Amino acid sequence: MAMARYHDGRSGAIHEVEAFVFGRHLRLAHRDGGTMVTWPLDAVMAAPERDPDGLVHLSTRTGPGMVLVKDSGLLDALRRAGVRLPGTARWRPWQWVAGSAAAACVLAACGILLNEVPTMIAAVIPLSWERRLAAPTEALISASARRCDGAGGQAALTSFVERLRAAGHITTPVRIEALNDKMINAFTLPAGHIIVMRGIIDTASDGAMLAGVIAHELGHVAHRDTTTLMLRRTGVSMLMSLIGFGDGGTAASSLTNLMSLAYGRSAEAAADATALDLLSTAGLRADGLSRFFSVMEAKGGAGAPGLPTWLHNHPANEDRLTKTASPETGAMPFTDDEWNAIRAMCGGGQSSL
Amino acid sequence: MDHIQAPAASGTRQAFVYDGRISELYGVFLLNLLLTIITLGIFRFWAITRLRRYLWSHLQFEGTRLSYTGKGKEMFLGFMVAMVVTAIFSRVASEAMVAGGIARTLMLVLAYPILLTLLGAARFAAQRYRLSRTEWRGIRGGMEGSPIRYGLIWTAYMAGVVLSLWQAIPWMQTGLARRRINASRFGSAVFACEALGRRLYPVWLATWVGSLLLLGAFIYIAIYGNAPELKILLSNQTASGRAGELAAHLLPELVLALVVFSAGFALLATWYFASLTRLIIGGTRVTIPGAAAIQLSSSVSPASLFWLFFFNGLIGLFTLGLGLPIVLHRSVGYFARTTLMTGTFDAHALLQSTEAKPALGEGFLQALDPGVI
Repeated sequence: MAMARYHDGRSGAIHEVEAFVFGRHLRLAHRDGGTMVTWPLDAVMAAPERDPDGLVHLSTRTGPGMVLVKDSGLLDALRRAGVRLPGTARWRPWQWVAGSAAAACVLAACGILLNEVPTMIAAVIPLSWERRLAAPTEALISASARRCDGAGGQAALTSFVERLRAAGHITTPVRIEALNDKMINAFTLPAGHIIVMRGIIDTASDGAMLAGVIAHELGHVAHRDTTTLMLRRTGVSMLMSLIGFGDGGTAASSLTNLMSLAYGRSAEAAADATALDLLSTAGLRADGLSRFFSVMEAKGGAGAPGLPTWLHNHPANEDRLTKTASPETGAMPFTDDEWNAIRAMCGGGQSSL
Repeated sequence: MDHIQAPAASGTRQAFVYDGRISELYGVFLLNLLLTIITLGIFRFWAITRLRRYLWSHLQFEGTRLSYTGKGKEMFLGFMVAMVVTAIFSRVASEAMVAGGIARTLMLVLAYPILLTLLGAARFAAQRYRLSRTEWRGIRGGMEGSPIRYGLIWTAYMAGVVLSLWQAIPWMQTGLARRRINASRFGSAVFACEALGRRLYPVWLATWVGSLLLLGAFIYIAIYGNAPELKILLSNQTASGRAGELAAHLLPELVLALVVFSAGFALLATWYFASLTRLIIGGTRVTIPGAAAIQLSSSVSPASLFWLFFFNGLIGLFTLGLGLPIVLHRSVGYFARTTLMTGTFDAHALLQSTEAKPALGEGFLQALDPGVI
């Protein structure tokens, strides 16, 4: 016979009872003898876990009331009679190890999926879908920035891009545009849309430097990096909202930023390598990119407030500078006329303070 | 003698004792996270249930643990029903918008009130579900009254708040809390809340005026005080090197102004929330027919609440959500430590609830406003 606690389900009183299995019944008795209740074993259910004190909570389908049992003899008798009981309350050490390992594996798998799946999708996604991905950013840009519309400069940029495309067998159609903004920045939108800010053109001291930067952006086009990045962002916020972090807002954006920082560096390095490759295949001077980095380095490097965003989440400058160093061989990417037209395409003279 | 006489405490004491552990909470949380990811989110209803079972079972009232008897399936079914209803609503709304004319006008006028009413009703129903699935010594809770009626009152309060330019907020918050508390039952125990909005209004007004003053000071220091520099910086005429210099010069001041503003605002907000909590809990009394009443009170202080929110915020920010168990543990512990009761609790007089148990679990709230527990 075992001591147990009984709540009758009618009042908040606690009854100390003796509990035992009798035939196909669980019987609760007053300590002085009289039977209190009899529950058929077929109707006895246990709560899914023991409570923090190690007690098993039993109830019956047939009515109110709850019995709290700790006695292992009684629990064994119930288990033998076919009542499903919860296991031990605490995880054993090996369960902790196995659980943590499983959690780590799932998280790692999620990380790999979030990293790799967008790359795979980006490689096969139709151009029309990429255009749709780019649409919101495109709209934002047309609403807030002025395009540089010098015809000669535009023609020079377009023919340069076409030359590199042919050299690198890049199938994605590429559109290049200059925006009248002093920010020293260039970037690529999905569907092969390269944007160069006036700040870059002003900063480049010759055509080869600008060519290096544009070739780098073409590297991003060839690798479909921007599409990958956008897909990854969508994936992360979907996952975060799935597992219940609201709309996934803050957590998702910090996670994506972390991932794109880590991933961004290898993508930038790959785009650098492709840039050099494209330029030399086309028989052009490839030393511009490296020289552009040294100009930026002289301007004070990345990170300082108000400084070029073009260098954000790009690999450490000195490292890139050495890796992209190239001999001054090959033809100049732009003729003098072309280069002058590009410098003038944003509506004349440089601004300065 | 088969009755255990509970220690007959009557002085002011903690109503609940919380003895959960962060390590165990992590055990529950990690498995939840795993299964939720694997099942593409469907497990979340079972996950919330597991988390609640843990938290409830580590809260003791008068020496006996609470237990949570809700099932993931109930919450999942409730969610499905809510999804169907919202789908029908949005279908009707879009049809009305396309049809134009009177239908469109009607929809434009009614869409917000309808959605607000549903949200209010969902909160009421969710509390009713949680109470009906909370057991203590085999006695369960419940709620009387209609969720839709509560939703309508909530919507009316919302309109009042907007019309009064947010001055009616104390009346709304106390009024809604009063309705929810007065509708609540635990077994035969009845809750009654007498918190009045006008008692809170001075604090609200001070918070409101204080925030406006802070904002004014922020604008003065950050913008007016630096007008010449900002003018140059925003004029788009600066070379980037010079812009960097200017920004570097301005940055410390801007950051300082922002920190002072945020800290001041957070202190005012926690002061208000602490006052609200003390007023509502302190104005609540629990009566068991045939026994003496119990008076609740709260020892929440602005400073302790500020640190709770501050560190919870930091944990949330730096662990990308993986710190949830720590945040929960701290919050539940804080709630248990600060909720007090005075008077003798007569467990023998407490009888079982006569309320019917709602069959479906808080689906609407999960559909409209999903939370983590």
